[in-house]
Amino acid sequence: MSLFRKNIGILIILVLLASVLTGCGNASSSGESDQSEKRIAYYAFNTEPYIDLDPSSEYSNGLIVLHNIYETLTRYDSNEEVVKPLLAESWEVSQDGMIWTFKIREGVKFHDGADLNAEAVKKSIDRTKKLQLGASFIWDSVNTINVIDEFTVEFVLDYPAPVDLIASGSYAAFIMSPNTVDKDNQWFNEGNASGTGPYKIQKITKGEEVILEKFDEYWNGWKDNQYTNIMIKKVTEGSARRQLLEKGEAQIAASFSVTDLKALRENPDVVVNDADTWRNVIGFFNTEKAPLDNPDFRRAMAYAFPYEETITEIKEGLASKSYGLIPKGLWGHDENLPQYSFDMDKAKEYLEKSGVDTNDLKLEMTFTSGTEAYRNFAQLYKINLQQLGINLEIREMNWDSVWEKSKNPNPQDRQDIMIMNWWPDYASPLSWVQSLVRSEENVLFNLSYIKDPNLDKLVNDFEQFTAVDRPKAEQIITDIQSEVIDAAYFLHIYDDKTSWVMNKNFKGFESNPAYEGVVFFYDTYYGE
Amino acid sequence: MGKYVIRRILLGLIVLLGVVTITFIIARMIPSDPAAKWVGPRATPSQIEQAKIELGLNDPIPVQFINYVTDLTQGDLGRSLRTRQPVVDDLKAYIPPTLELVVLAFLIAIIIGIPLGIYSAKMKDRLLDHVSRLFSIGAVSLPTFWVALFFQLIFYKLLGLFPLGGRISTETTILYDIPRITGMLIFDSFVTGNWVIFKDALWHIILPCVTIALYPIGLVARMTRSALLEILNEDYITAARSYGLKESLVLWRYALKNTLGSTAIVLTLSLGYTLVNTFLVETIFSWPGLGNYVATSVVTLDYPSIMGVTIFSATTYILLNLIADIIIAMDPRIRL
Repeated sequence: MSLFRKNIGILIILVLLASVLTGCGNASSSGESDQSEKRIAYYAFNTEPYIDLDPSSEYSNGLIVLHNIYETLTRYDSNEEVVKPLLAESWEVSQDGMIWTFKIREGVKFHDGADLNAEAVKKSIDRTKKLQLGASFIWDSVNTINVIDEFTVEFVLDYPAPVDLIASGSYAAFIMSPNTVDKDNQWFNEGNASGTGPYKIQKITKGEEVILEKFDEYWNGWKDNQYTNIMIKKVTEGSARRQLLEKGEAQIAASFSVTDLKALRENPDVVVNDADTWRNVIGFFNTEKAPLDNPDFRRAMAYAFPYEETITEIKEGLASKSYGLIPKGLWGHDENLPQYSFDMDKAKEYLEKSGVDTNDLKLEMTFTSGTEAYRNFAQLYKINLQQLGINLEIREMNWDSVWEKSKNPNPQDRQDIMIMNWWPDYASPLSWVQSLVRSEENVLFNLSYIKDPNLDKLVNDFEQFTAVDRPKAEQIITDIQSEVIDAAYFLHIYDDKTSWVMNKNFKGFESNPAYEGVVFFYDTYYGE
Repeated sequence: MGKYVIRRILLGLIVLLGVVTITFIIARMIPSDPAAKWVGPRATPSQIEQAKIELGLNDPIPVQFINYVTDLTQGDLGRSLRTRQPVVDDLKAYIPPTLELVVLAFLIAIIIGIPLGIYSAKMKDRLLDHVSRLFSIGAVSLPTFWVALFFQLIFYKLLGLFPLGGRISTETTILYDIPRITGMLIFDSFVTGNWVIFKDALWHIILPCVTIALYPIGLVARMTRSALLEILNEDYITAARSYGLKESLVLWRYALKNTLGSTAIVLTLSLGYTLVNTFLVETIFSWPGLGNYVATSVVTLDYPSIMGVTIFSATTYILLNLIADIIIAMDPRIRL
C-alpha cells in the first residue's frame, strides 16, 4: 500500500472517530421534534419489563407496564386496606355474595377512541376467562357476566367470592378496548394495545424496553409537571442502575445490593424508600416424610431457626418479622398471633418430647438458586441444627427442578424443607390458604402436603365469608393461622421489603404492595 | 471447489440433524414441566392438562420429535414456553444486535490485531514487540466482565465520554423513529441516511465492542506474529528482500498472505463461540442481544428456545468452518 493511501486511510478513520466523539454528545439535542415539551421518566428495571404484553395472559413482570396502559374496575389502597373505585364508580353485592353489580364510569375513552361501557367490561373479562392462561383462574367463581344497561354490569357467581377485590387484581383484571378482544397474543406482543390508562405504547424493543407516551384524552385529566413519556428499560446490573441514578439519567429503580444501598442512602441527589411488600418467605416442612411428620419435631425445628439474625444481619433490616401467613399491610395480618422465635432451649425441649433420634439424621433443604438471602440464612440454620445433632444439606437448584422434586409422587423422594416466597394475585389472604394450606389431590403449591379436613373446611368458609362478611372472614383467617402455627407446618421466615431509590426531583411516588414493582407514573411528577 | 462446498453443506446438514436429535433428547430428559411453564407460575391442574394437549406433550416422544423436525423444515422453531412467542421471532429480535456487536468487534480485531502482529514480528525483541505481547496476553487473560465494568467506571462515571449502556439514548428513542431493516442499528441508520441515530448508535456500541474485541485482538496479534516469524525466515522472503523490494511490500503483500490461513481458522471459530457467549458483556452494557436470551432460556429450561439457539449456533459454526476451509483452500500450497 502506498504511503499516501495509507495516510489517507488513517485520516479518514480519525475524522470518523472525531465526528463520533464530538457529534454524538449532541445527537439528542439536534432533533427536529418538540423536545422541550417532553418530560421523560426512566424506570431502570432489573430484568425484562415484560414477558407477554397480552393483558389477559401476562403473569410476570409485565404488570409494571400494563398498569400504566390499562386500568381495572377497582384499585386496592394498601394504606386504608380497602378497594377504591377506578373504572367502576360504585358496586353492590347481593346478600348471599353471589351477584355483584358494578356501575361503570361514564365518559372514559380507550386509546383507540372506543367508549368504556358495560359491554367492554364483559368482553374483556370473558376473553381472559376463555384463554385460561396466567392468572385467569381468579375469575373461576364467575358463571356469567351480564350487561344490564350501557353502564351497569352484573357478575353472577357459582359461589360467593369478593369480586371487588378480584377486580382490583394485579393480573388478569385489565379492561381492554372491545376492538382488541378478538386479537391474538401476537398482536399485543408486536406493541399494540388499547386501554383506558394514562399512557399508551409508543414503541417497544422486545425483551428490552417499553416506551410509553401520554394519552392526551385520559379521563382523569393532566396537570403541570407530570411525565409525558415513560421509558421502562431492562438494566440487569445493579451497579449500572446505581450509576444511572447517581448521574440523574434514571428517575427510579429498585433491587439493589446492600452495598449499593448504603452508598445511595448517603447520596443527597437520591431518595431511598424502604417499602413493605406482600411477599413473604416461607419454609415448607415435608409433613409426609419422617421425622417431619412429627409435630413436636417440627416445633423443635421452628425454634431452631435464626429469625432475628436473618432480619437484622442478613437482610440488614430490609424485612420485617412474620406473624403467621399473611404479610403486613394486608387485611388478615394479625400481630397478636404467636410467632416462633430463635430459642435453642425450647428447640431441645421439643426435640426430646418428639422422641426423634437425631443420630445420623440428614435433612435436605431446597430453594431456587440465586437468592443470596436464602443461601445465607440456610447456612445459619445449618449451624443451629448441628446443635441438635441434625445435618442439614442445602441444595440450590433452578426453580423448575425445585418444584419438580417437591411434586415427586413418592413423598420419601421429596425434599425435607423447601424455601419459597409467596404473594397474592389480588388483595386477599385467600391466596395463601387456598394454595398453601388447602389439601390437594395433585401437588401444586401445598408443599407442606397438609391434609387436614378441619383446615379445609375453614378455608372453604373463609372463601365464602370474604364476599359477604368481612369481620367473620377476618376471624376465620386468624383461626386458620393459629392452627397452622401451632402445628408448625411452616417456617414463617420474614415479610420482605423493597428499597425504591429515586431521583430527588421524582415526586409523588408511593409504593403499593398490591402491585409489585409497579410505578403508577400518572401519580408522579417533576418537582424541585 | 463447487463440489467441495456442496459436499461440506450436506455433511453440515447431517451434523445439524445430530445436534437437533441430541438436544431434543436431553431437553426431554431434564425434569421440568413444560405445560406448567406455558400456563404460568400458578398453573392450576386443569390449565396444565389443557396446555399438554395444546403443546402435543401427550404424544409419544418419537412423534413429538418427528413433528418438531417437520416444523423445522418449514422454518418453524416452535414457541417459547416462557414468552409464548414464536422462537423464530425471538431470534429475529435478538440475533441482529449481537451480530452487529460481534462482527464489528471482530473487524476491529482484524484492523488492529493484524498490523500489531506484523510490527511485533518485524520489531522482534524490541520495545514495541514486548509491549504488544504484554497487551496480547492481557487482552486474552483479563476477564471480559471485569473489563466491561472497568470501562464503564472510567469512560462513563469518571470521564463521561461514553454512555453506560444500551444501544441508543433515551431521548433519541423517544424523539425519533428507529429504522428497522436488518435490526442492526448502525447499518440500518446508515443506509437510510439517519445520521442522528447513526452517530448515537455508534457512540453506544464503542465500549461493548472494544470489550469484546480485546480477546480476538490479542489472539490475532499473537497468531499473526507467530506465523510471520516463521515465514520471515523463508527463502522466498530473503530472495524478495535481495531483489530490493520495499519492506512494506514484502510484509504486507508476500508474507501476510501466508499467515492468513491459520489466523482465519482461529478467528472464525472464535467468532462462532463469541456469538452465543456474549451474556456477560450484554448484561453489563444492557445490550438486548442473544447472550441474555440464551442464558434466560437455559436457566428457565425453556427447551424450544434452547433448541432454537442450539440450531442457530450449530448452523453458524458449520458455516464459519466452511468459510475457514474455503479461505484455506484458496492457498495454492494446499493443492500441491
